[in-house]
Amino acid sequence: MVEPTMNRPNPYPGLLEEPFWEAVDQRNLSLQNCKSCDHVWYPPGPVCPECLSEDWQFKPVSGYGKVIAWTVFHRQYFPELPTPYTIVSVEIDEGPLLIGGYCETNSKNLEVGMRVKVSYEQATSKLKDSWTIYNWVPA
Amino acid sequence: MAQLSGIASVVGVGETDYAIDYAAAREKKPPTRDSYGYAALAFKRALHDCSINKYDIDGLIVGPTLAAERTGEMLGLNVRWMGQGDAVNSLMSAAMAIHSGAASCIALVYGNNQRTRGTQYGGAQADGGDRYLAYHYYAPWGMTSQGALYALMTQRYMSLHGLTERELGEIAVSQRNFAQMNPNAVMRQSMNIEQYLNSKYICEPLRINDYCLVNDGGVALIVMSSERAKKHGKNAVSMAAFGRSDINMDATSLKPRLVDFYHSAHQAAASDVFNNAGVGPQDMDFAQIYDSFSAHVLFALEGFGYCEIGKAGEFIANGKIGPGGKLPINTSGGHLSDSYMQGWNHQVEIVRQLRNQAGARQVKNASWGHYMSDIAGKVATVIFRKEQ
Repeated sequence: MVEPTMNRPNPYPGLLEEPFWEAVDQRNLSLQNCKSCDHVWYPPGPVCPECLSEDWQFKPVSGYGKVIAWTVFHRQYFPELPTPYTIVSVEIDEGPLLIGGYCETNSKNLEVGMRVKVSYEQATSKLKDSWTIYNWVPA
Repeated sequence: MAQLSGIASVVGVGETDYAIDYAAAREKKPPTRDSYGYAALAFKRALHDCSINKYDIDGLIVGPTLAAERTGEMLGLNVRWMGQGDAVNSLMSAAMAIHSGAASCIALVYGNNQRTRGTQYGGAQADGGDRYLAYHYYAPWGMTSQGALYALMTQRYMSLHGLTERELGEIAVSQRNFAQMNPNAVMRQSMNIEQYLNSKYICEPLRINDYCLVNDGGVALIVMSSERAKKHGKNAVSMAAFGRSDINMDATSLKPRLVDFYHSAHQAAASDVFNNAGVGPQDMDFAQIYDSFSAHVLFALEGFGYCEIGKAGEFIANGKIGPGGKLPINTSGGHLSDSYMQGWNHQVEIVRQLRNQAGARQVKNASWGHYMSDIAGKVATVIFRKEQ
């Protein structure tokens, strides 16, 4: 299992990243949703990439999806994160693909198309004492 | 881009001493050149290769690691027109400049001291993160590096199409076999499939031998109109056609990479390049494929129509892309075993093959060579033809 509280690299900074991570902190994963054309997109951006509307909202998503792909990191790139660890790409039911850690270091039980659900975890980083990150576990 | 077909030719090529410089870097000898130093040496060699005076150069294109002004200052070049780009896009820009009359004799110059400078392609200082957000956007999860993105693609490909690690290893082994016949290649020691399978994973399922080298060097090419090139000498190689298609939508989420394998862009660029050259995949004598990672070869072969989707494993099996194979690929050893000059050394190798100057690794009766590149879904391609 992923450690309950882990020191991690900081999230990418940005104006629109803040509301995204605030929703994660409330354990309520939310993506931008266009009020004009109902498109849902990720990562956050200033306009709807379909219709260019600026009239959007962060809207909670179901937190369920299916596995698209995974990789096991054997080379360590960040001093905070010891290897091996497994990363999955998940297509959530609302459409976009999200990245996250997978609950087991071992990838043997993973399959393309497997149903997974979001799982929240407390983290720390150089800039923040306590914040929340999301990962994926079997649904 | 039909108007760019057959109008421009490469007349001169130059490369630096990859194997010697790599050995020196491994021995921790103090570097004697930086990116500009490598670029300058390659430029001098390219001029010498085509017996052109530097004052004939009226256009300059530099690779992404060089500043255009400083490169021109260093080489003492005032020009009518300058540009910057990756390898194949620089060739395309040169053809556009010649077509428009912006310049008539163009130097394309690349230099990179990535090994001695300690360039990182993953982690907090990942190179290219300013241009491709996905290279560092997922740092909180430890998801970084271009290699990890290709590992995800390769894993999904293996699951969907049943490709095994042993079958994937054919790419690295074939390219190593070529590199052994290239005295300038960095990795010339033999490698068989068992040695490949015993090498360590970086991001599973990719192993260290699926990753490109990180080495120092420079490349230069001299391009002029095909009409002028014919008068100039016998060593010109014509660029028969170009193709390009760029995917940006959903790029950071990795959707075009993982769901489409960039095939929609491959297919659009393939249609352009083959139609405008008047040939098809079956007419190519050899190919060079941008190979920062081995798996590029699978995706390009399928996307460009060399084989059906999901059949690349069969296409590459049993030495079919190696020396003497049906379609030799990355005949210098490519980025995996020759040198990682970010697509630039592939262009030199095509010119050498079509000039019949490739020594022990020469592809017999080579008349057509195809370069395919799909860096982060920005697909660009060129077909070269031996000068008639």
